Amino acid sequence: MTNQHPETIKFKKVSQSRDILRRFLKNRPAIGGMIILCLLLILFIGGCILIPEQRCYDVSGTPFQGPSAEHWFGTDHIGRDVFARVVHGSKISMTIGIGSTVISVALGSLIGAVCGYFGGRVDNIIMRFFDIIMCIPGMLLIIALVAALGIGVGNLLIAMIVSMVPGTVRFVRSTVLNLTDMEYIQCAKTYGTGNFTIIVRHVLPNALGPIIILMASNVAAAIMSAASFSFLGFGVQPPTPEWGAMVAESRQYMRQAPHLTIFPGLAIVIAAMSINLIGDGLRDALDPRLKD
Amino acid sequence: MADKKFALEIEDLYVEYVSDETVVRAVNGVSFKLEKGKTVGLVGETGAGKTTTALAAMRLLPDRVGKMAGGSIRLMGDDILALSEKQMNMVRGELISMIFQDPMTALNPIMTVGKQIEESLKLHNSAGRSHEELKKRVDEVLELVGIPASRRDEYPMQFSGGMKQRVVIAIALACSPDILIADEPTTALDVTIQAQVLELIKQMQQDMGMSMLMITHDLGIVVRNCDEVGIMYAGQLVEYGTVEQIFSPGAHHPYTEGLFGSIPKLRSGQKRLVPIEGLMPDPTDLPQGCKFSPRCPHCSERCRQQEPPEIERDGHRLKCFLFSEEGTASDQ
Repeated sequence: MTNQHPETIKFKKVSQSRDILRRFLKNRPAIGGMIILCLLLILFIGGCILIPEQRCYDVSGTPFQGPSAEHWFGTDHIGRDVFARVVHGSKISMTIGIGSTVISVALGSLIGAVCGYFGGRVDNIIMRFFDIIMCIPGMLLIIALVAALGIGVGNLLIAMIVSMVPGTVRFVRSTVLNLTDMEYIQCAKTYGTGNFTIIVRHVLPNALGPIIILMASNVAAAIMSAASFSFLGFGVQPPTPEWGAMVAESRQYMRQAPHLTIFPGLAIVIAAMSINLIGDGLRDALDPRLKD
Repeated sequence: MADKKFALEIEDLYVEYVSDETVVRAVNGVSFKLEKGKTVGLVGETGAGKTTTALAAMRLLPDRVGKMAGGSIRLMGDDILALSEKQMNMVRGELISMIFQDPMTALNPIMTVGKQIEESLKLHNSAGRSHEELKKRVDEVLELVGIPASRRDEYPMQFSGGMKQRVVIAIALACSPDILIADEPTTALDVTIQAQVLELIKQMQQDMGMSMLMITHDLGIVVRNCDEVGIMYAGQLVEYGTVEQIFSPGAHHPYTEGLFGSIPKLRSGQKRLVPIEGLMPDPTDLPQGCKFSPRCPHCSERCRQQEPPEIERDGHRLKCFLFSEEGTASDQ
């Protein structure tokens, strides 16, 4: 049938995703962040596989040893291997950081899209509710929730999700508000698409760019705040290895053995920084207004 | 069965847009009937209520803001106000469909055109056709509007404006609706493409036996495509009749005459166009009496006081005092 159209010309297909990729790859800090994060992930994942978890709790070593060939990051105050603990600590830090972000963004996007799309009374009630939550300082909210639910990783995760959802809802709602005025939404209505289908098929996919950016910047913040709350003693409890908890445990020996705080601290900083750099790069690549 | 003659009947339609303080009276008592297989054109300035009338016919007035304040709309003889939202979703696309003005924004930028056409087919898939059959129908529809089926998997950004409008038409026609509303389908296109697209719409209409409501402000399009014409001003049909009645000299509403005066004529050798003085009245604060009175060259005291009645002669309807008593107009 195609032969009926002699005017068919093979167009050079410049796909949007390739354009975005090209812009991302041109961004040096973002590529730097990407490389650092990849190395970090290889180190952590490889470490988790190669180093048995038992080694985190093994107290047979001499306490306060400096870095050596046997103990790469030295040993802590009761002789545990710091490298093994940093590596295995990544599991919890990363899980909380990424898990809380993914769940809060998913929830927030859905609620935000519904609010922005329908507007009116539903929107008003939901948004005022989230405004109230946003009035409570984030740290205080999480501490209060953990105190009420009980200390533990699971409860910390829930508390962090609760504190992150309102911001996401607000962000996605404002994006969706712009989208609902688009003519293709109206057009979809003219052939009988239901509201829910429109939200899922037309509104959310078009808001995906900003949502990805939001997610990238939230992951870094969530890793930091997971570490902060473990440091304060609200999340992971010793002897389970976790970066924030490790810094907390070793801070009283900071003068004698600074490596005990430096290594987990570095892990937090490098992980958060590399993800932030990637997030910035993604924003520059996905935001058409910053097009070169 | 008498009313089955008409695809779309709009009777005494009133639409208001309500915001916090003001009420915008966008449509004030519009009535017309669209015969099956025929085309009705709605002509008027921007803001005259043409699109609002069309949206009301699809029950797609903006939520909360726009509301039908009166009148009735019947699609294929059925009152659409009596339908539930779910039934209405079945009606949209299957019975009545719409083409928008700007093809650049009427397509979802991140969905392939094939998917967008398929979506409408899927929603109205009461026959339970399989995925392959739907795909085949998508190709068919694309070929029908003159796009090679091989371009099914391309994104809207890869199409030109005219091609996009063809895709928009393909989406609207995918489920072979009985009524098509074309809301200024060619305004955003350049002249050569305009002709192609109009030709395409006309042909589709003949092939599928559709009735069409054509919204435009181009009188040239009207005369070539429509059977009946309504001239809209400030939410009212100031004149309505067949194309012959509207376009032949004789009794016309001063606004219609103004419209014709503002388009250039090839043979008359006139140097300057005669525009209609003034602006459309503010729809939140419509003048008393005749809505056109502040701009009307024949305006009298009575026009400012009373709303003129509608005079009908052989289906030619006029809303002006000039024609209420005398048989013919005082032509100028």
